[in-house]
Amino acid sequence: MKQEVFIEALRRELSSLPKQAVDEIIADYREYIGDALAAGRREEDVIAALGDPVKLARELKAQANYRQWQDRRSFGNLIRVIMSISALGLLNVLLLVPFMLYLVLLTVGYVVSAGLTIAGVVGVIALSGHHFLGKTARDALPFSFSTSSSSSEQAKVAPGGTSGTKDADDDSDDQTPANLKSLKIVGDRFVFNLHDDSRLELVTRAGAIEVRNDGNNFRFESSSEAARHLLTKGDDGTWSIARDDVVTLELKDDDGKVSFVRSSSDPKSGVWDISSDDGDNVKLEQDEHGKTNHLTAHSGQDTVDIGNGKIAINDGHDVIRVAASDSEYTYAIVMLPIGLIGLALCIWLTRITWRSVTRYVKRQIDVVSASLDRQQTS
Amino acid sequence: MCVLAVLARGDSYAYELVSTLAETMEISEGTIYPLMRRLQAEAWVSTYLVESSSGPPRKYYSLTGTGRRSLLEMEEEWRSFVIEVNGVLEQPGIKMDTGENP
Repeated sequence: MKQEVFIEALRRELSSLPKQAVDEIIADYREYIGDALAAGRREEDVIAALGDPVKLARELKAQANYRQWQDRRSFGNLIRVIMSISALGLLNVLLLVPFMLYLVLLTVGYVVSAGLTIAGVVGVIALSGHHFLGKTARDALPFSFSTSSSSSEQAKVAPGGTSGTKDADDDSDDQTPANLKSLKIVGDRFVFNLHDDSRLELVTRAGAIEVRNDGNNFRFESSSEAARHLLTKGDDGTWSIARDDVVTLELKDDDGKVSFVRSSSDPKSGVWDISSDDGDNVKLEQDEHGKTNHLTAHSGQDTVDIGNGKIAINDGHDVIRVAASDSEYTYAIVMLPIGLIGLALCIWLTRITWRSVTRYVKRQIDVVSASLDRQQTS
Repeated sequence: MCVLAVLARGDSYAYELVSTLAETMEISEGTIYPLMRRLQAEAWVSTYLVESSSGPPRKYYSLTGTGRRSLLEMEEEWRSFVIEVNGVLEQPGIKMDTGENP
């Protein structure tokens, strides 16, 4: 191989480096070849002794990229170092695929966390603003307000106290205090005090029962004997049944109607519907914790609806709606720490990654140098 | 280390370095430049150009203070290594390239 061929090959391989660096390296080799020729050696021998220009260029490039990276620790420079190391065959390029995947995941993590943080900050600021301005606030969900409305409704439902009243709030607190005269909830049992002309229809787990009181006699009609036995007579002339056994309940007397329909497998959950004969009606839904999460009261044209963090009052002409921003506020407050934790995690991961890659590259460069030393001495 | 040792005796240029080293050991001539660039990057050697009577200016390499310290450290390590290995082999007369290597 002639001198010019070697120089050209070297220049071509080094073309990715800055021109100044390439020129310097080329000048070094020219000088060397010149010295060797001056010492009386044959050109072919000298070039052969220098070795493969492609391999030399790779080593020179790896070193140059590494130095460039040390001067300026940018991601692009790091990639260049990794690529030149892999060109030396020290690193399998296939190993880079999971690494790249990891970097992509890390980026996604950054985007998601940053989005959550921003959304959380915006949400908290916006909703706190509402708080301070008093537009919608958690304390503006006045429970006293709802009770007073619903109890006035209930007064209409049960005129003269014949069917009693049922206080929604009390009921949500525990299971006992329903104070309908003909229906009480004692512990986990329904207790019926049936008087004249009232009719009780029950669907139990064992079957349906119908109880009627005409005069002083109770008349039972049941689809099965087992269902009949679920109903037990108390000392004071009342009848009771375990709440767990009741699937639906309907109690009618001359003033109104109470019905209960279980809404899930849990006996505590269900929908209560209390109506008077003039069309007034209170409806409440209880979830499995026995908590009232929706209450509707109708009286004539008036409606009060409480549920899902909203109160709506409708008197047939005007509608007042109060929506508590409770849930949005909670989301915003939850999003903020999650976003911040995510961001912190991402930064931490990045630092670890950066440090380990730096260490790895340094070690690889040491390997390159060591291989140079070996070639030097071997 | 060998290059540093040669340079410790006086400034030199690439071809001379290789020739000196080639007297005592086999050496791949091409890798002298990658090696010299690394030593330069570690600031163990510095370079200066000298106009030569024939052809382009010659690049001379000279050992720096840090280079000299590193060389001393490496010499120390090398000697203790040789002593250890010799101790293991229990052959005091084992052949080592002690002449030029340190």
